[in-house]
Amino acid sequence: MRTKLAAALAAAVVAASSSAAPTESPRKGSFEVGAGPYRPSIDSEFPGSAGPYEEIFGGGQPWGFRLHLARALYTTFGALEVGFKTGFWQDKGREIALDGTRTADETALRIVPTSLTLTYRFDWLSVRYGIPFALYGRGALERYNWWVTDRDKTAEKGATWGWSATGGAAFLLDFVDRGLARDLDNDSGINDSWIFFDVTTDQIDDFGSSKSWDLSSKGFTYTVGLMFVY
Amino acid sequence: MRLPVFLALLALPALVRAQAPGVVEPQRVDDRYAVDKYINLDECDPARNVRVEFRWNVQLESGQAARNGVFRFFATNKQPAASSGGLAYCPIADDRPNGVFGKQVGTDFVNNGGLTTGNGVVTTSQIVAVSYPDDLCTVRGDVPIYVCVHFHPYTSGTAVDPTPRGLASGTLTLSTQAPGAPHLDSVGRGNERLEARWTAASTGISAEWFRIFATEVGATAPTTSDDALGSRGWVDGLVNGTPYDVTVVALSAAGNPSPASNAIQESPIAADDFWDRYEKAGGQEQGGCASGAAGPLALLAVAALLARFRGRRRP
Repeated sequence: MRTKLAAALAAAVVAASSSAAPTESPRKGSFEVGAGPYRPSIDSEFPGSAGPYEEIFGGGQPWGFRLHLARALYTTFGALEVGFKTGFWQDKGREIALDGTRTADETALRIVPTSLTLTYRFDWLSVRYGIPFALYGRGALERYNWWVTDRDKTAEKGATWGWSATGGAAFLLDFVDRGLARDLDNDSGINDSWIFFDVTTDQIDDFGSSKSWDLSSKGFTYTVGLMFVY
Repeated sequence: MRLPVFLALLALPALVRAQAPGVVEPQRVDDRYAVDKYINLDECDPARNVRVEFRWNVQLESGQAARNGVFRFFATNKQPAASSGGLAYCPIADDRPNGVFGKQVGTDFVNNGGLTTGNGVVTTSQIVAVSYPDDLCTVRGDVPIYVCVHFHPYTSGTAVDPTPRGLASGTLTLSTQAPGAPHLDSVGRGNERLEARWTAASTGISAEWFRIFATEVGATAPTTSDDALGSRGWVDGLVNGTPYDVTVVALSAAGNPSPASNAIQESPIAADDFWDRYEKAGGQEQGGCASGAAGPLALLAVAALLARFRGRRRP
């Protein structure tokens, strides 16, 4: 069974590589949409007890979404891209009364992360041989724009800087239907469509400032999404 | 060139408010009357004496010119049929054998300006009394009331032509049924407010919105109320630590209220939002851009690196 599957995959790769279209449009950059869970490490300031974040919001990891637009600097052997990423994330909880009980009033922490990114994507095997996988690494300068709401009013707002490093893998969806992919390129200039999964580690605490909280993600975070190379 | 445009803009609100020819519509509230085309239980009750201003723009019969005369306001339970003059005038007297009821409401509105437009205040209970004299406010379901403004020109001096020469018409809905009482499931505490959660009644007509009442314990009249849609809502403007009885009333599209729900007693309480909680715990974040120049400097460094990279690529 395994031998048959491997043979079929190899045949598909060979077929795909032999049918790779030389008439592709130039690669100028990429666009991503993705989503993933996130939980800030605000409570790391309060070791040994449940911090205010856990008190209000509990132990969940809400999902946020992101958009990433990048411009290619180099495309000969893989692609080096500089880009801008933004998105939205929020966590909601109930306010706590002075007697310690939870009330019906809602409070939220909302974040619009913005990032300046530098990405290297090793998709040369896909471009050259039609093998539908790519690996990529990304470094980013991060600025998390956040605000805390009391009911619907803003109680406090600010911005916290930091950095992040990401490693990811992507699967080329064009491999599923090359004809459709070619049509998409002809119609819209999108060369490739990828589905990706990446893992990020970050440090978002104003570079260790003693006046800032820690919005770094608790452990590694992962993101799944779609990427379009245009 | 600019002045006419400016004058036209000044006149725009009046143009927007103008009635289309042949139409009569309710225009504003007599305190309790919502600007809609319903007559509800409250507005049907003669004891409440709710009055509504109507505005109209009559369409004249062909061959007729605008001139002085009177406008007469009529209401009826049956849709008027077109008469020999080409317009569908309301009946001016009851035709009980055929189930048609209709009469003039109020007195004549004098038109000495030779206009086709006008306005007048009419008591809503009188509209119901002439169109549904046998049922009044007990009619079941929603029923239409057709209203007309007939224009009667002066023939000589102030002698009124008994035959109408122009018409504006419209339709109202008499709605006297109310939703069933909702069930108040719970009341949550908030800072100077309370949150009610309820379940709408499965009987009676459907509720369009709800009104939440908070009555200070011991008081006879509600302290405050707020309107809400759906199945939950807040009543604001309360005093922390003061106990209130909370009830909910469902309202129909016409504004007919259900009986009040069961009451739940609760007191608002001061509460900490996340930022309050963080500060009280001794958190070090100060809000704003606390890092000072670190972030922008890092950004500048990245920009410089990129510029250097691009410079190297150029031959």
